[in-house]
Amino acid sequence: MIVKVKAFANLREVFGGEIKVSLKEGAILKDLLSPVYLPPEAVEVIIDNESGEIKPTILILKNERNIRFLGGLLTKLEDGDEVNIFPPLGGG
Amino acid sequence: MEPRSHTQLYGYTGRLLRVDLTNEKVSFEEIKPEILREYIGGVGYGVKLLYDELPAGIDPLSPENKILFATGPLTGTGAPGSGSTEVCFKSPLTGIWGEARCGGEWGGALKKAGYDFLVLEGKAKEPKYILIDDDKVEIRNAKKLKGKTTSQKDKLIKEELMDEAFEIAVIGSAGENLVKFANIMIGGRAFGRCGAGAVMGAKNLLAIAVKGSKKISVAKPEEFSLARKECNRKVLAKAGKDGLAPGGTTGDIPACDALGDIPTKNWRSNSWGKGDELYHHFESKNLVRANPCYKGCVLRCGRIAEVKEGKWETPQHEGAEYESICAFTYFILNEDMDAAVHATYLCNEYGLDTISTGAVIAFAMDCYEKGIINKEDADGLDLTWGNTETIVELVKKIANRKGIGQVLSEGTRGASQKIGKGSDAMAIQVKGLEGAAHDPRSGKTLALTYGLGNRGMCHIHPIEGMAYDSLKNDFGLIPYGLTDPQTVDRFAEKGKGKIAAKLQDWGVVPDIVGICKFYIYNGLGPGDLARQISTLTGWDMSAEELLTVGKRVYNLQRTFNVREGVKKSDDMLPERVLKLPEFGKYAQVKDCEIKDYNGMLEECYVARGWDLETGIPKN
Repeated sequence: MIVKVKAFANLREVFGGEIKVSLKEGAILKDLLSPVYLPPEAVEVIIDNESGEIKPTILILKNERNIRFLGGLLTKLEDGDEVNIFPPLGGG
Repeated sequence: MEPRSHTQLYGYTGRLLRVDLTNEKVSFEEIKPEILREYIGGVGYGVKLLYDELPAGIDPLSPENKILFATGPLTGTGAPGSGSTEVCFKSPLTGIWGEARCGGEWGGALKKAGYDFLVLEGKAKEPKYILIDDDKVEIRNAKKLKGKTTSQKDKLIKEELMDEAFEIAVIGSAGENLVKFANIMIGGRAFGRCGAGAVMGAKNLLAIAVKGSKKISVAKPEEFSLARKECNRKVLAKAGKDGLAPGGTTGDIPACDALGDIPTKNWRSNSWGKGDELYHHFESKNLVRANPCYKGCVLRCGRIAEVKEGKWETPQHEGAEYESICAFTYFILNEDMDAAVHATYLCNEYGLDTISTGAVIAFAMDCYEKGIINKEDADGLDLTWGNTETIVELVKKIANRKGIGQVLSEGTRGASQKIGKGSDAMAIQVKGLEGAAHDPRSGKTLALTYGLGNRGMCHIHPIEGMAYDSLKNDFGLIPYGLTDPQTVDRFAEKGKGKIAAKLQDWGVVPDIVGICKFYIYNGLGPGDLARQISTLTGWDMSAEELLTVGKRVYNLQRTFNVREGVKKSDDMLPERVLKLPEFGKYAQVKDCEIKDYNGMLEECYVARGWDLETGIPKN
C-alpha cells in the first residue's frame, strides 16, 4: 500500500517535502516512523530516542485526525492515507 | 537605584500624561500605586481608566471618546518581549471595547520620556501632532501632514524635528477619512484592529512623536537581570536559535492550511490546499530578510518583503505577515502572492487594518457572486473572486471612502446593514469585528475564544484556543488547572468551556504587563512573568496573583461591553463558521463541524462565573 507523508515548517528541511511510502499490508504508524522508510534525521526529530515514543512537541495527523486519539504509534495505516507531521508552530 | 517619583514605584514612572486637544492643555498626573497593583498596566490599566472615565453610549468618533496609549511595567526594560505597547479606546467599528497592540520601541520611549500612560481627549480645531521629548510636550501644527501616507508622515516629522531618534505613531489617510477600521502605524508595525486610527483622525490628531532619555528604575537590578536572562534562555530552548526568523508567521501558512485552520473564500471552507505553492513563492520571491521590531527580540517574527518587478512592484517594507497575507489570499481566493504583498503594503501606507480590509473585500466578493451587489454598485469593478486589479482598487477606494469604498469602510457588519438583501449572512464577524485567519473548525476551543473575545472576533486573545487544540500548547498552565492538551481531541466540544476560561485569563496577561504574546507561546509561563515583575517592581507577585489580575481585567472588559449593550446573543458565531466546510479536505471530516456551540458557551460562562442567561460577570 502507498501512504503519503508530508512534513511542515522547519521539518520540511529534514524531510524534503512530501514523499510516498510503500508499506506492507497491516503496517502501523510505528513501522512508518522508522529509518526503514524515512530519512534517519527525520526519525530523530520525531521519535524520542530513550522512550521510543513520539515527542510531545510533534503533532501527527492521519487523514486530518490526531493519531494520539486513533492509536498513537499503533495507529493502523491503509492505502491512500495521508500522514502530516507538524513541529510546534509560531502562532499569530 | 532610586525610584523616579516620590510614589516609591519601581518599574513605573508613576506619571500619566493627559492631553486635552480641545483646549490644547497638557497635564501630568500622579498614578495611584494601589491601582497599579490591582490592574498592573497595559490593557488592565486601560480598561480601569476607560471604564471609570467614559460614560456609556458615547459616539466613538466624538470628542467625548478617549484614547489611551498604555505601557506595562515590563515595557522597555529589556525583558523578553518588552518591545510592546497597547492602545485602548471605545471602538468606532464595534461600538464596544477596542484595543490594539503594536511591537517596537514606541512604548519604551514613552516610559523613558517619563510616562507610563498617555491619554488623549477632546478634538483639535485643526490638524495637529504631539511631540513628547522628556518633560517637553507640545501640540504642533500638522497641516502639511494631511493626506500623506504613513511613511511620508514619519519622514516629514523627522525632518521637521531634525532628529531620527523619535519613535512616531501616525495615522494614514484612512484614519483622516474616518474609515471605521483605520489603524495607527509605527514604522511598518501597526496598532491594527478596531479602528484606533479613526479615533485619532476624529480628534484631528495625525501623529505622536516620542523620545525619552530617562532611566527606568528597577527594585532589584541583579535579580531582575537574572530573571530576564533565564526567561530568554527558556524561550530560545523552546523556539530554537532562529526563533520565527526569517519567514516569521507567514511561514505557518502551509501547516495551518493542512490543519484546516485558514478561513477560505469568506469562510466557506477552512482549507484551500495551496499553502505550499503560496509560501514557496513568498519565500523565494518576496521575502527579503527577518526584521525584529525591537532590539533584543530573540523570536524575530518581523520581516521585510518586496515585489521586485512587474505589475505589483512594491518597495521593501515591513509587512506581509501571516494574518495580512491570508486576508489577501485565502479570504478572497487570490493566488497571486505579489498582488497580496502589494495590497498589504498599500494598507500600511493608507493606515488600514489588513484583516478587516481583506475581510470586507471577501464580503463584497461573496455578495457579488450571490447577485446582491452588481458591477454598477461596484463602480464598474468586476468583483469575481481573486480579481487582483479589483482587490488593489478596492483598497484605495476604502481608504478614501470613494464609491463602493464608502459603504465598505463601515466594516462588514455596517456594510451589510446598509446593503440588506440578506448580506448579513456574508458578514463574518462577532460584535462587529471581522474574523481573523484562524478557523475554529481546526480546533473548537477557538470557537469560544472568538465568541467571547472582548474586542470581537480577534486573533490576539482567541489564538490561545487554536494553539491549545492544534499545536498542543499548554502555556505552562497545567499546574494552574488547565487540562493537558495532549489528552484532548481538537474536535471535542465538551470540556472546552473550562479550557477557554483558563486560556482567556492568561492570554490577556502579556497585554497587561507589556510584553509580546509570542513569548508566552514559546516557553514563558505565569511564574516566569511573576518573577520578572516582582524583581522589577519590588512587589512580591505570585503566578496566582498574576492570573487573578488577568481574570479581573478580562471580566472588567466584559463589564464595559455589557454596559455598552452586549448580550448573550452577541457571543454567537456566524452560522457559516459552525458548519462543515463547503469544499477542501475537511469537507469530509464530519467531526470538524461545531454541533453544540451553545453548550460550549454555557460551560464557559459557568467556568468564568458569568450569569448563564445574560453572560454578565456575577461579581
